[in-house]
Amino acid sequence: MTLPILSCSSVRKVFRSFERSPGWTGLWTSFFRRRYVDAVVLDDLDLRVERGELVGLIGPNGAGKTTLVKCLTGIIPVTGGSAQVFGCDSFELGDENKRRLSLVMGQRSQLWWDLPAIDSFELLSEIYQVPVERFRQKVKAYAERLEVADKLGLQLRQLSLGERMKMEIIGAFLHDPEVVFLDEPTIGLDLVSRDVIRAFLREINDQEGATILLTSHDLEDIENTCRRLLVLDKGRLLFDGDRIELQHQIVDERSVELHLAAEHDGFSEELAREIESFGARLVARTQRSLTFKVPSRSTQALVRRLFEVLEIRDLSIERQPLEQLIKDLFLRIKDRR
Amino acid sequence: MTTSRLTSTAFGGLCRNLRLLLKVSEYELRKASVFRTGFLVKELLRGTTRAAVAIFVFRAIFQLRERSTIGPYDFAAIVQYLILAALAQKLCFDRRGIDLADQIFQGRITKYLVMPFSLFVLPLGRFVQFQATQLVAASVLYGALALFLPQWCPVPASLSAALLALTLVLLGSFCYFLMYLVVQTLAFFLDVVWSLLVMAAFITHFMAGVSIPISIMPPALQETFRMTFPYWSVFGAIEVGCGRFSMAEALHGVLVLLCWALATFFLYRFLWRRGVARYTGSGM
Repeated sequence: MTLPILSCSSVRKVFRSFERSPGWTGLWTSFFRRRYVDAVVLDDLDLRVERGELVGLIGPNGAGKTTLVKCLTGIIPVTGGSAQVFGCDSFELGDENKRRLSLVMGQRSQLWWDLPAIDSFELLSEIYQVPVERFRQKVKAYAERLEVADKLGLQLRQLSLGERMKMEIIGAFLHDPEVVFLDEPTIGLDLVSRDVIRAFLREINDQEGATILLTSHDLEDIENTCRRLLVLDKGRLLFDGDRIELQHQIVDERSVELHLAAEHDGFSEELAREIESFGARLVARTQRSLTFKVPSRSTQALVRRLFEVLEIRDLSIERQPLEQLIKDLFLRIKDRR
Repeated sequence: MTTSRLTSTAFGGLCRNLRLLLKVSEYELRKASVFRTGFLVKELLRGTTRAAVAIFVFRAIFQLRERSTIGPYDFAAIVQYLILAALAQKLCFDRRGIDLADQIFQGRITKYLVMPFSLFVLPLGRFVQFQATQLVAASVLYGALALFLPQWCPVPASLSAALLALTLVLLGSFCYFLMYLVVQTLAFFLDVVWSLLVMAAFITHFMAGVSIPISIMPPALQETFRMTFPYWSVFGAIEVGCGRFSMAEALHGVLVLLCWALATFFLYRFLWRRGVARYTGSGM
């Protein structure tokens, strides 16, 4: 059995914070007597990530995503259990192991604000000891790939948000890290920049085999980039698997939209009942269109039947968006509780 | 591992750190000079206004008391003292020189914690840049004074006295740097760092004799201040440079400064390690 590149075993992280009581009385009492509360941010979390995986970490605000990233990168120690990177305790990583990883924080720049990005890259190459020739090749290739080659000499403060994030990503990959943690890398970016970044991450993962753990609120990031999903809520791992598996676990549905040649041509109450017998339900109806939610196993049979009885001008079948799957997952967990 | 391999590894590490330090210093200089007016005001003219104000204050005091001397100083001597104090203070590291507390509060140091280097190199790079810039600026100012106002320009007792005084100032500046680093590292534990910095700067300026020569202060205060680094980084250095302190006293000053540098460095390391262990970084 090979050693996982990242692993968590019963990881628990508790933050202790001072709770201030409300009002004037609270002000005085809490000045002299402090009350502390423990917030469990990660709770008995088990995880194993193999080399070369591209993993998406999602969850609502306060789910513990960033805390998990911080525990795995060794920024903070775990309260209980063990978090390991390259088989070593993440909080005790030496410089040799730190050289093998990288972190991009969407809301915190690692480049210097007043200097051109190329200067910051040079400093990073000094820190990570990247040979000069390799450094030049990498900067050129990545800057061209991310469409910022002509911006390298501009002060970071003069770049747009998207360009800055692309520079951050170049900086993170310059030293050929084996593991890269990206915490909300596309936050606030336009669609074009997001697409470019997503494509870049997929390419790096495919070509260079870097293990990537991507945290994002934008489910499109995860959907378009990651093969494996981790869903975190209140410090617990709710789901670990790929999208298809998630669809199987929730409601494996397709959305079927029909555009009819004539107004509700052939659609009757009897047909509606027949459609229900396929396990489908009508979710939207306009003068010339019908939308159904259909279990994926019956989609083919239903569509065949609809073509027999209706005069269909156009048809579209869509998978359930990841966002909906996640919502369903959270609802199901809530119902269970 | 053999001794020779250990030595070569340690030497390699030292060379790497030195290269990185030089790179950081170079970038700090680039950062400081991005805005030309800012560079002129913050880096070149830094510390000159205090001396000008102090000269006017002493002029008023001399006129008011209708005396020709205060302690061992007549007006010309006090002006020369204040000019030297301004130059020495100009060379001493400033509390605004580093923004580590800000970085800790805002979580901006988070990214450095996953990098394979000691974060101490970054503020140290700023220190090296500051010192280099201020040495040039102080030399230019001293040269201009000697050229245009030679009657007010203080002259060192000898070249060796001047070099010894410069050594004291530079060592003192390093102590100032470490002291501000210690106070800023307290940002891991406290949220009153900026107030502490202002207090520390005010007290150390008084102890250094920047605005009032220490020799006109009460003897008990003088004896107490002799054990501190601000005394030797400004007042002590001026007295050594002007030949009023002997070589033995100067060496005593160097020893005091080295002790302070070591003590503050270890205090910084202690606080840094304790702080990082309880730091939560940016975001939750």
